[in-house]
This record gives sequence, structure tokens and C-alpha cells, in this order.
Amino acid sequence: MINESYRNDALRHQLAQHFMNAELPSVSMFSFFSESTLEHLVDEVKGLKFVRHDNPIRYRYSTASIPAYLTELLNSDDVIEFIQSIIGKQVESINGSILRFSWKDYTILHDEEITGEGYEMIIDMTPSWEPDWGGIMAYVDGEGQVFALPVTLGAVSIVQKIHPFQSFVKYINHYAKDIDRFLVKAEIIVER
Amino acid sequence: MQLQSILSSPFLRKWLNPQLLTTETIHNLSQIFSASSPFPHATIDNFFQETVIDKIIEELSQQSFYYKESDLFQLSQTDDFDNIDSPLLQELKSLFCSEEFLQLMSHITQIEQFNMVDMLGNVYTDTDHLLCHDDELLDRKIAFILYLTDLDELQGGCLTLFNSEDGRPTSVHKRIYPMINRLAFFKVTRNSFHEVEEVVGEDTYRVSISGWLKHDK
Repeated sequence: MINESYRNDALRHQLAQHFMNAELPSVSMFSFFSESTLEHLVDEVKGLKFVRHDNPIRYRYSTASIPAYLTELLNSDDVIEFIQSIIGKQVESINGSILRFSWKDYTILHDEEITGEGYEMIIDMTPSWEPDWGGIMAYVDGEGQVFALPVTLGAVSIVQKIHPFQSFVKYINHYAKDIDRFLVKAEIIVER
Repeated sequence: MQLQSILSSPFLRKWLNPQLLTTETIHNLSQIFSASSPFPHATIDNFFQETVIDKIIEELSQQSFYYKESDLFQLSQTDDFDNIDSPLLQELKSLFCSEEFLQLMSHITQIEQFNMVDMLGNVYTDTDHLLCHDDELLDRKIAFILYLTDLDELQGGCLTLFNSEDGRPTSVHKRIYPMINRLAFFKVTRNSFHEVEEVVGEDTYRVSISGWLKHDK
């Protein structure tokens, strides 16, 4: 399930401190899931059926529902406890979808995309991706400052959304050829 | 100003292709502009005299371009020609700001008044792009692009015009390819959805001068 090192209390404390003190409250964990879990997830994602979303002035990408295996994993005691220790809130559930970006896909910042406060989890599910190909997910605060998430297979990022928070995925250029980029985008529902 | 006196302006005749400066050509352009889909637009090939366009290309290549990147675009641009140290490019801007030129464009576009012009140089190279947007700002009336390089279908960089429905872009209606000395221009509206497609190729450069004819109330 999750990598043993992330069960360590001292590391969790360190990550929680980083989360709280970052300019955009966020933290990214590399190799968060065990190798076998990650392999299983990557295989599952490859087999999913995606639905296309095409509104050129705002986005071009595809989505699929999170498979049962991943829903169970994200809502497992291990993952929920870990997230609670980072954000300091009781987590009710984690739900979302899988995004697929191919050559010429993107999302653009748009006023209608401004979301309320909350927490978000992004999992990079793309084997062998080069940042130069685009596809980087970035968050922008109200003053236009950009915070890019790491581009590494298996990296799990937790981000606190602060009004007027927005995110975008940079245009994917021709160097990606026929390789697709997969991201899990999930909302962390916390107790009010 | 009457069209005939505009067309005989020595200032315009110094710069523009004389074949453009006839009543018949301007009337034809005006009809093409207003009848074009998905929103009013037109292109004029061989816009400047050949000697003039060569000098513009040479002069622009000497300028500083600044790389810019956001969620919407990735390209390099000069400052506005008002603020660059180039007598020729400043003179080019003076031409676009001249009463004769603005009146000529009014005849073509049937938009009565322009009183301001923005103008700058652009370079798009490998992977550079400008995603779909409408250009709409209160004072922008006409957007224009003067191409200074030739690009083919495989090299990208074309100006793509979108059909729209209920105020949102739907499908691609038309692609205008960069060609040296081609002026493309379109009416800026809330539905003038367009993009510059990604440029492909390490040695591919899409060089242009672009801007807006504006009416500042």
C-alpha cells in the first residue's frame, strides 16, 4: 500500500510543517505508494475508458472515473490517516477522476474555474514523461504567482485551495508524440 | 476622406503595393471581409512593396525579443514599436497610425473610426503557441498580423479561426498560413475565437508583426 517510510511520525511531522509553511500550502511526496501498488495502478489506468472534453477556450482533455481499486486505496485507513496528519483535519472521503492529456491538450485559467476553499490530491500516473513536453500541472494564487507540481511517476501532491485559487495544465507539445499523460485529481472532503 | 484621395496618398504609395491601391481592389476586399466566415476577416498577399518588406524583415531581426509564457501562450515579443530604438519600425507604426491608412482600413472593414494602434514583433519557434481566445477588449476593433516568414502545414504556426455557438468556440473553420508579406486581419468581437497553432521544428521560426487598430473613446 503506502511506502513504509511515510508511516514514520517524524517524517509526517516534517511534511506537515512544510505543508503549513509553504507559500501555497502544499506538499509533494515521491514514491508514496509501494512499487507493486503503483504498478497495479498504472496498469488499471491504461485499461480505462476515457470521455473527451473539448471547449477550446478553456480545455481539451479526457477523463475517466477512478477505478474501484484506486477508490479503495485512497479511502483506506493508511491514506486517510496520513493525509489527516498532514493537513490537520478529519478527512471524510477522497473522490475524483483520472485526467488524460494528449498532444495539443491543455487547461486554461478561467474565472469560472475558480473553486472554493478545500483540499486536493494530485497523483502523477505517467511513466516516462519529460517536463519539456508540457503537461505540467500548476497552481496560481490570486496574484499570478505560479506553483508547479513535480513531474514524476507516483508523486502524490496535497494542495490546499485558497480563494481565488486556480490550476491549469500546460499545453502538451509535439514532442509527446503519442504518449499520454495521466493525472489523478481528487478532492479531499474534510469534516466541517 | 474620399477613397480616391486616400488611394493617391504619396505616403501610402511609398510603402504599400500599388496594386492594392485601386478602388476596385478595396471594394473587393471590403466585400470579402464582411462576407467571410466564421467572423469578418481578410488576407492581403504582397501587402508591402518588395523592397519595403525586405527592410522590415532585416530591421526586425535586429530587435530584442522577450520570452513570455503562461497557461495561454508561449512566444517571444518585442516591446511596442513606440518604445524600440528603430526609426524604420517607428515609421512603420506611423504609417499604420496615419489618417490615410486608418481611413483605408475603415473603407475595407466598414468600421468608422480608429484612433489608436498597438504594434509589436513576435517570434514563435519550436513548440511555441497561442491558445484559443477572442482578443476582445473594449477598445480593440481590428486585430492584424503581418507575416514575415513562410510556414507550411507541417511547420504549424497558422492562424486558426473557430466556428462558435452560444458564445463558445466549437470547431475549426479555417486555417490561415504564414506567408511573407501577407497581412491577415479580422474584426474583434466576442466570438472572434482564434489561436496560433503550435510551431513544429527546431529551425522553424514564425516571425510576424501584430497588433490592433483601436478606438479609444
